[in-house]
Amino acid sequence: MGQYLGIIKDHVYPPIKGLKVHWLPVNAEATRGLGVIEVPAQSPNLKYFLIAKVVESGTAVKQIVFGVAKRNDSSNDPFTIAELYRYTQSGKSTVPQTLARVEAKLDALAETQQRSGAPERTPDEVYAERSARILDDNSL
Amino acid sequence: MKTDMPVFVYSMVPLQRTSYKNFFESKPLKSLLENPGQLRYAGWDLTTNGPAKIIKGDYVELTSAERKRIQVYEDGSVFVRVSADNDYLSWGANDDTFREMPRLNTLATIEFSLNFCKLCSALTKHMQPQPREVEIRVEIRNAFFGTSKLFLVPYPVTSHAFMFADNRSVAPETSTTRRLSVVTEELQSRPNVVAFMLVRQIFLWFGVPPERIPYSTTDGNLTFIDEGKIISSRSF
Repeated sequence: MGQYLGIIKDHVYPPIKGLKVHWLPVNAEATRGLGVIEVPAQSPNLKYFLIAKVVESGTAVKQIVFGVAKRNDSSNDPFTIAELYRYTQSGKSTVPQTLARVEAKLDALAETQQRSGAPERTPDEVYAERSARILDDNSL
Repeated sequence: MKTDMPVFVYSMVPLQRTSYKNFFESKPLKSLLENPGQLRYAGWDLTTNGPAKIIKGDYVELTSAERKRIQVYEDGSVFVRVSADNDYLSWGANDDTFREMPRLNTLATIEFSLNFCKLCSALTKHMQPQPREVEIRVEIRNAFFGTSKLFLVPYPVTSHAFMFADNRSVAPETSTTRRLSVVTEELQSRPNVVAFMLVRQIFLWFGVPPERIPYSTTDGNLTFIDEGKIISSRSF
């Protein structure tokens, strides 16, 4: 079990707190069973965990390459290159992420308005037009 | 309407996107506008005795001679123009007297403001979806006309103080727009409270503190325009 713990420690940074590796036998002789690698919930302050080594077809890939995975229910999905880039730009704080989403929505809104022609009038502009209309004696 | 004479424009504009369902076809809405209700016969209200007409496919309009004009838009907004000269809100003087002593009729102004809020309250019930808030405004134009300035005497019209106009609060400028954001539920449940808030805006502009607004009653923390006092009032 210590060997598994050592391998995981070599491949994941920072070290996973509370990591346990144990064997759950299903017969009396304990020759058959399940190997369990138990990863408890980690502090958000430690995330994201970096994969320090990449293994492909049983062989360590000897190049500077690493990925970042995020937990998605029962799987661990690596970030796309766009996501990874965004996090390197703005960090994991929610404020820059929220601002980035607001900016994207504003861009989409501006694009929609450009496509629809005239920009939407403000309530004060609508009020001024209608107030002027009702004050206009010629329309009586 | 005499364009250089005082005029009020009351309006309600929803602060969230909404509309009247089947606006141009709706019989209940048309019926409401043609019969907006009144506190008493021949009082100061939004009755026009005219049909609701569709204008250019843009809005619905009702008019009553040169005194009142109501325009309602599909997006929920309502604009009401009312004469504030001696034809209507300053009722009680002939043309010459009014030009010499342009006194706003407190009963007319307060009763009309209450009836406007009651109509707005009823109109909001036809809006889908219900806006969370509406903005109510009153715009005063031409408070200065010729050499005269519109003024307010903050007493019931039957009082000696009103008759002799010896406690005048004169309009500070020729025009203003007073704005009030109101929660729709409050407008629907207590239009008389909203009416007081609206009248308060008008009186404050004239420099009159709220506690001197006639035809109002305070009950606990709420002050409202008192229909009973208006109905039992004897206008002059």
